[in-house]
Amino acid sequence: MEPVVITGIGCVTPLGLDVDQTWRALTRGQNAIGPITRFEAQTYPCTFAAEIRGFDPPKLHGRFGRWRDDKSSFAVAAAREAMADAGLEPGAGDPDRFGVSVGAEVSRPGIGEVAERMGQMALHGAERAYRATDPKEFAVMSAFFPATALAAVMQARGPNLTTATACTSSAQSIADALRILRRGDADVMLAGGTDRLVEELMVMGFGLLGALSTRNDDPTRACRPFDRTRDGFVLGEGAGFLVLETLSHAKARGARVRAVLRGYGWSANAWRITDSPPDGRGAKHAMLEAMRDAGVAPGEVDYINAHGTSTQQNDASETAGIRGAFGADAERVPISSTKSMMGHLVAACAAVELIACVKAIETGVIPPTINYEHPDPDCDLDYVPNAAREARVDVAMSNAFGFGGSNGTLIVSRHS
Amino acid sequence: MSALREVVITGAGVVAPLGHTPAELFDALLAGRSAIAPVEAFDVSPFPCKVAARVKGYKARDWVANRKNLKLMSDAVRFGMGALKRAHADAGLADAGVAPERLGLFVGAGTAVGRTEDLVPAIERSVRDGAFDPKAFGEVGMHAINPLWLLKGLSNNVLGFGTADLDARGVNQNYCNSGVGGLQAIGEAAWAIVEGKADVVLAGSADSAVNPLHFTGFGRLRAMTGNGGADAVRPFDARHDGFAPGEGAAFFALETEAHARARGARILGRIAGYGDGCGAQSLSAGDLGVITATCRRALERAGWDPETVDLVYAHGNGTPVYDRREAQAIAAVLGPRSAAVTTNKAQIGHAMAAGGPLSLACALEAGRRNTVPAVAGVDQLDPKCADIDLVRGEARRTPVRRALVHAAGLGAQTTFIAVEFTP
Repeated sequence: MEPVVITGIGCVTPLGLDVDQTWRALTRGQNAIGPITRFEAQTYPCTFAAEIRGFDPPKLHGRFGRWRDDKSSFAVAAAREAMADAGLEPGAGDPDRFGVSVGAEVSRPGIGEVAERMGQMALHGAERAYRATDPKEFAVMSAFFPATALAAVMQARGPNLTTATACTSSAQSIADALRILRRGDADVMLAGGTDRLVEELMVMGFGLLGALSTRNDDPTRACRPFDRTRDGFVLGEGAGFLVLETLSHAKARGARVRAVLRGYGWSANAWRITDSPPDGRGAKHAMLEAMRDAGVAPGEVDYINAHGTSTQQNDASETAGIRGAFGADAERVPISSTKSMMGHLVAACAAVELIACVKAIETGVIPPTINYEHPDPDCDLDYVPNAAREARVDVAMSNAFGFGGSNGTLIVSRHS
Repeated sequence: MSALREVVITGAGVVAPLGHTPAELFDALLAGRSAIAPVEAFDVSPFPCKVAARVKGYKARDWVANRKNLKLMSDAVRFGMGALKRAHADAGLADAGVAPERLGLFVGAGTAVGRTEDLVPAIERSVRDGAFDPKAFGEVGMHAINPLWLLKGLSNNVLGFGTADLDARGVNQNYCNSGVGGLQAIGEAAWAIVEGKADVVLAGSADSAVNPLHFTGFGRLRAMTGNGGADAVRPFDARHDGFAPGEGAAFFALETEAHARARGARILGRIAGYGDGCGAQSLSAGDLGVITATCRRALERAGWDPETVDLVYAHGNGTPVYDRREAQAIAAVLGPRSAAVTTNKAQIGHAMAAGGPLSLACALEAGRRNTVPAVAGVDQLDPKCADIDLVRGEARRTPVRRALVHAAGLGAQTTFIAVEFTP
C-alpha cells in the first residue's frame, strides 16, 4: 500500500491566523478564551468562547468572491496556507487527480436575522419575504459549500467529500483523503475541516443542553480538560487544512515531506446521541483500529493529542479508552488537550489538532493542557499539565469523538 | 478492474413515495404512477413550486426501538430508520452473527433543517418596545425552547440513532453533500469493506426536500418546477422546467461476496465501480468535463467497456440546464443512444441525498426483472437531450446486466456507482 504523506499545513484558529502564530501560542500555553464580543451574550447561560479575531476574508475573484460565509472563508485561508506550504499551485498539477475532503456542518442564521425575517413576514407577507431571500443563501449555508468553494478556488476536479459527524468531522474527512490516496483515486488531496461556532444559536443550543462551561466569572480558566473541577466545553472556531499526497507523487515533484499520515481508526459508540459510554469502549476501539491500520504498537506512540473537551464525561471516558487501548503504556505516554487554549473547534478540531501533532514531531515540543489544577481519580494519566514539554516525538496520535457517537483517531509519524 | 468488485449487495430497504419496498416502488413506476401532488403540509403560496412527492402511510414507530427518540427525529430521519432496518432485515442480518465491531453504517445526510420554526415562541417573548431585544432573548426567550433543540437539527442523526438501534459499533460515516451524499456513502462503504474494516456495512441515505427551507432555497435558484399536476416534472423533455421536491430513504447491506456466500445470503447485485468528482466552476449546471471524467473513472474501476452498459439510472431531475449536461455526458462517454436511460424523478420527485440510493434500489429491481420503466411525462425530447436512448412511452423488456447510477449535487458534485447483476 502506497504511503501517504503530509506536505502542507495551514490553519486559522482563535490563537492565530496561521500555523506559526497558532503553534507559538500553543507551546507558550496562551489562552484565546474570553467574553464573547461578536454578539450580546451577557444573558446567555455561557457568555464566553474562543473567537477568531482580526481575520480578513481572503479576496477572491468571480463568483466565489461573493458566494461565501465565514466557514468557507476560514477554509479558503487555511487551505491557501497549506497549498503554499506544499509548494502547490491551484490544480496541483492535474486537477482530475486532485480532490477535496472537508469536515463541516450547516451554518445557522443569526437570531437577529431570524427575528427580522419573522417581522418582515408579519408585515409584508410571506411572498415578499420569499422574494427578498438571497438566492445564494441556501447553497452557501449548506455543509458542502466549503468543499465546493475549495474545489473552485483550488481547481480540484477529483473526489469531493464533506463529512458531518459533529466533533469528529475532520478526523474522518482526513481519513477519507488517506483512503482515497491509498486506493489510487487521486494523487493529491486537500483535507481538513472548518467551523464557525461563536454565534447565537450555537451558544444557545449547546448552552441549553448543558454541554458548555458556565464558569462565566473566570472564562480564561474555564476550559480545564481532565481537571476534577471541569464543567463543560468552550466553543471555538476556525479551520485547519493539510495537503496529503502519495509518497511517490511527493518524491516525483521534490516536495518536502512534513510527516507521514500513517493510519486511521473509526468506530461508533452505538450508545446515546450526546453521551459516550463510561468504559470508553468506542474511543478504545477507534484507537486500536488506528494503531492496527498504521502498523504501530502502543509502545511506539510518543504523544496523544486528546479530544479532551473538558466535559466530565468525555475526559473520563477518553481516559478509560486510552487505558483500554494502551494497557501499561497508558501511564507512560504524554497526553494533552490543546482545546484548553483554543476551545473546541468542532468540525475543524481534529484537523487543527493533527497539525499540532505534526508540529510536535518537527519541533520536539509537546503543547500543554492548561488550567490543570485538581487531579481527578477518573483521569489519572500524564496530561502534560500547564507547561509545554520538550520530548522527541516520532509517532503522534490525535483523537476526536463526536455528538452522534462517531469516533475517529489519526496517527502521524516522522518521515525518515 | 479492481478489488471493489468483491463487494455485493445483500439487502435493500426503501421508504419512498409510491412504495415501502423496492419491489412496491418499482411496480408503481412500471405502472406509470406519479406521487407528485399539491403540497398540503404547509403554505406554498409564496413559492413558485406548488407540488411535491410525499411518503405516505409510513409509521416510524414500527421501526424505532427507543420511541422516546422519535421526538428528536425529523421526517427524513424517521424515513431513514425504517429504510435502514428494512435493509438490515432484508439481508437477514438479525441472526447472521456479525460482531458489533464489524458492522458499519455509512449515511448520506441531507441539509439538516435548521429548525428555525422552533424559535418563534422564543423570539416572540424577546420583543421589548416593539423590537427584538437580544438581552431579553438570553434572559427569557431562549428558555422557551426545548433544551434538546440542537439535537433535533444534527445532521448525523440517522447515523447516531441507527448505530445505537442496530448496535453497529464499527466504521461509520456521514456525508453531507447535497444530492450526492447517498451514493458517496455507498461507494465509500464498499471501499471500507475492501479495506477489511468491516464484515457488513449498511449504507444509504435519508432526506426530504418537502419543507419551506428547500422550497425557498431551490425556488430562489429557479430549480423547481412551476407546473402543477402529477406530470409536472418532465426530465429530458422539451418542456422540462425544474424538479419537484421529494423525500424518502434507501439503505443497502454491503459485504464481500465470500462473506455473503459463507452465510448463504442472497446477492442482489455487485458494486463494480464508483467515481466522484466536482466541477465547481458552474454550480447547478455542472461541468460537462467533470461529469464525463467522473463517469469514466467509475467505468475504469468496474473494468467495463462503455458500450457494455445496459442501463443508466440518470440523475434526470427535470431542470433544463442539468438534463442537457447529463444527456451530453452520457452520450459522450457511452456513445450516442448506446444504453437505455431512465429516471424516477418524474414520479417520485427529487429526494436530494436520498435520490441516488433510491435510483440504485430501482436499478436493482430493473436488473432482477430485466425491465426498465419508462420516464413519465416525456412527449418530445429536448433536442439537446436527443443523443440518449431515453425509455419512454412503455416500460422496456431488455437484459440488464450492467447499470450506472448517477447523482448530482447543488455544489457541482457528481457521483457514479456501477452495479452489475449476475444472471
